[in-house]
Amino acid sequence: MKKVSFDHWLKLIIGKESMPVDNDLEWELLLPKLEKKRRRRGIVYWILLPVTVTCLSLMYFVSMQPSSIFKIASIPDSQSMEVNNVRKDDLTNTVIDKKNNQTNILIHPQKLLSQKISKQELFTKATQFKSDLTKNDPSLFAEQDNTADGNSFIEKSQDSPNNLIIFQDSFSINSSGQAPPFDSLSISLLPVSIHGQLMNEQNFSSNLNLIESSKNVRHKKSFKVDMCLLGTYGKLFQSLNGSGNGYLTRKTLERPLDVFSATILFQTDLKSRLKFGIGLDYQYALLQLNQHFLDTVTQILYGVIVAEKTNAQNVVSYDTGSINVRNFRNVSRKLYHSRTLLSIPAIISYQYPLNRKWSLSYHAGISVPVYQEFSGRISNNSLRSLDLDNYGENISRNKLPCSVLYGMQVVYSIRPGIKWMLGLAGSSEIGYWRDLENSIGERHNSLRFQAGLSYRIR
Amino acid sequence: MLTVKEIQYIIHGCLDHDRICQRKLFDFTSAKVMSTCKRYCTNHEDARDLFQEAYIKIFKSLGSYNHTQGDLLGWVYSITKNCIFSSFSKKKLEIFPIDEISSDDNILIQVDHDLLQEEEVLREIQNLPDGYRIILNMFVFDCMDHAAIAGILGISESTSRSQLNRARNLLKKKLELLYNTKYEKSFI
Repeated sequence: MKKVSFDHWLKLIIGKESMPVDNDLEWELLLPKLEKKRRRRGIVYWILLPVTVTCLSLMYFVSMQPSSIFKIASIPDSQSMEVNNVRKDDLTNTVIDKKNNQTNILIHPQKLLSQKISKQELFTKATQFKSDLTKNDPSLFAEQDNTADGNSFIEKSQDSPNNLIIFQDSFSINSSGQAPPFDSLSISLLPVSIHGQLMNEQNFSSNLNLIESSKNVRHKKSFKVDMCLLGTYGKLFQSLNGSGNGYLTRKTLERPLDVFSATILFQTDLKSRLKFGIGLDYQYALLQLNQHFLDTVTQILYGVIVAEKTNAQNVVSYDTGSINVRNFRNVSRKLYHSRTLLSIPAIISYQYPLNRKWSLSYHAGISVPVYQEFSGRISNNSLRSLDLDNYGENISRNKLPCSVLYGMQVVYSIRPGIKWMLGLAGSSEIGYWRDLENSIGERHNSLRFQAGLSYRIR
Repeated sequence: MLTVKEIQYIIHGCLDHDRICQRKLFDFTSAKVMSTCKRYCTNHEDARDLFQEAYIKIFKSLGSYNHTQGDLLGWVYSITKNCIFSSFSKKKLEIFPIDEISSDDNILIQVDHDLLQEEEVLREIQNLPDGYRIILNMFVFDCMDHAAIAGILGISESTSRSQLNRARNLLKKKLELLYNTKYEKSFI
């Protein structure tokens, strides 16, 4: 009988790999251990996210810094609501009455009361404050004696609701029309506001220092800048334009999913309620491709070796062989592709105050795209949903249509200079951007929930 | 066999975590991977653990596969081998040196031993002691020389050589016994 090498024989026997593997069972066991597909977020997301978190933390830290009981308000006229010559300043919690060329500053003393400061104590402190101001700059209250009620620097208002105290300063425009040491513009810088902190010498001196340092800039027009950090999340809409198989396939199988964006916006006042803002916007839009097809499954049915002993010495064996059976199964699967867009938004917003803290803000503007990036695959120019091309392969990265922006927010003033906003924002691309190869036009619109914070940086 | 285009499609899909493509690759390679794992393990459960570990590694590192450098099945096989070898270091496998016996790479076997089923032979391999089984697998099936085996297992070349000879003799003895029991026939 023929003899062969043992190693070679082992290889022949074991190397056949004819042992059946229950693929379905093994696959079911393996599946939970495999990585799931994660929705990819662009690198910009991972840059913007920490920046946003850092900015918010800084804003929170700055807002938690102790402030003096008498603080020089740095609120411009445009921030105030003027009704019948009475300007109500939402942010400083004061009401400035400019009747008869006098400035009466009304302060809601709720915070003072909550700090258990008596009115008498407040009176004493306020008088001290006035005296310190005068000591520092004698000309400040030069005309005080000429005013009708110059002695009542602080008094309880007779016709005001309870707990309302009038601070009455004497900065009046004199008859010659010349501006006093602090003119009407500077009056808005002088009012006091309450921040629930006890007044002390240090606070006085810091206030005085502020007055001193602000003297040089008071006659200049104030230029205020708010930094807004906004995050949005919402529904993406896509409209396709074109003809042919590719257009039909994409229109049938593609479904826009969601969009999120992160925006940093710098806003400045144009008029009393009108603001202009410009910044940078990062947008990530996710789309889904549904594929339905018949998958071919080849099943190997292995045979057996039948050994038969014919006599004492001989053994006859038969190999029944193996056959391949082809089956088909219906498969539905989802593929995801995404578009990342960097753009420069420019918006004009109108703020309608509802009360001291709350206001409504409407905005409209335009967004100029600067760069876009694609990932994932989409159906190519054929009816077969299995034929895929890289998304955005033939689309110019730079020549993109602008978007129209619109929306409204509810704005809440947390502290002077810090606002929180929540609302709806929409964007609509003006034109279609095209795949150069199969001329399928694509246009994205979106409607999103928006939330953010605004912080006065200047 | 899959065409290059099909393979590229499957790889692209696997990198996208597409379950259908992953299943295609799995169906295409599972027999080879499973038989390799079974050869190195003593039981089916251990083999399954290695099998799953190997596939996790395969799907993770599929991006590094280049079809110009070899066929996909070969690449999958090499990943499986690496996975198995790295499991040895995790287990801290100990192979003790034994007295070297005369090395004989030309042990012969009769052809009618083909009548033994693959499963039966595999079971006998699995029942070999750890050191014997692993070194036999590495030398015979993975065509590694003693220097490479010694490097991976952290043993001397002579230990590898002696373990291999003992493994061969033991396995042959076991197969003879099996054959005799089955067919009432002995080796000449």
